[in-house]
Amino acid sequence: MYVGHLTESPNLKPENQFVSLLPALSGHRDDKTLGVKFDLIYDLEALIAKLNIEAEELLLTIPLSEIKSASLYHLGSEEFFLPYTSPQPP
Amino acid sequence: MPTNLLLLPLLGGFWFVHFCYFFKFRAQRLDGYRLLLESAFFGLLLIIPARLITYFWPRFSGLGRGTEAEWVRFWQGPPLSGTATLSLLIGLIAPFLVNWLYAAYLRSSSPQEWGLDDEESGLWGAAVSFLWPAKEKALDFAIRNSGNQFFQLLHRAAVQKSRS
Repeated sequence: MYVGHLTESPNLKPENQFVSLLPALSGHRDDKTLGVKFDLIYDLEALIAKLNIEAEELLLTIPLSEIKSASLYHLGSEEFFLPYTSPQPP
Repeated sequence: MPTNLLLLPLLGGFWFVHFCYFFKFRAQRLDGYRLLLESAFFGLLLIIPARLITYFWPRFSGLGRGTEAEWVRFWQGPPLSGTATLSLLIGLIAPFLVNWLYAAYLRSSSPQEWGLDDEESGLWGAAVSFLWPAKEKALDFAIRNSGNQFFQLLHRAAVQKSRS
């Protein structure tokens, strides 16, 4: 699972089967709870400054066929996704 | 017009659809038959101004009469060959003119949003930079109207990134 910045809009060419993004976070879903666990934070600004490279060199290319689902990510939104609890009878 | 001459406006129509930003991105998704039909449609549209020019220009201008006479002497052939050739020429030039005019309109109507990009250098780079707003707008329109929901989502994310 990746959270990142898309650097350009997708091309509508059918043969274009990849999407590139600058990663900001990566993680996985817990097997048991299916909750999202972030494992890595990518401090790309510091990396770019240290290595003196262009941001394009850090682009992550993902085949579209590998993407199961996608959504816009809003920082801090996960605190509003609460575990479901059955309503108590009155 | 002989049938083989229809190839010229068809080529002009294909060139127009392929390079005019308004149609380019949607055309990329078309299969061969639909692209052929769309090219033929635009080719027919190109014949109209071409015919008007070849009909009226020699009637109102000495240069037009001279050009027509030279063309007939050079081609010695089928009628409407000038119209077909001119439709190809219009098809070759028109998409770049339309793209340029649209980019100029966008830049003049909202200069804050489409400020000049100074990163590109050279004539080609300057042209690409100048045309960039027209390309972005056309791609935006194409994805919103022809892209699937996944592409629309990726596009929205990319637009948000560019604005931030």
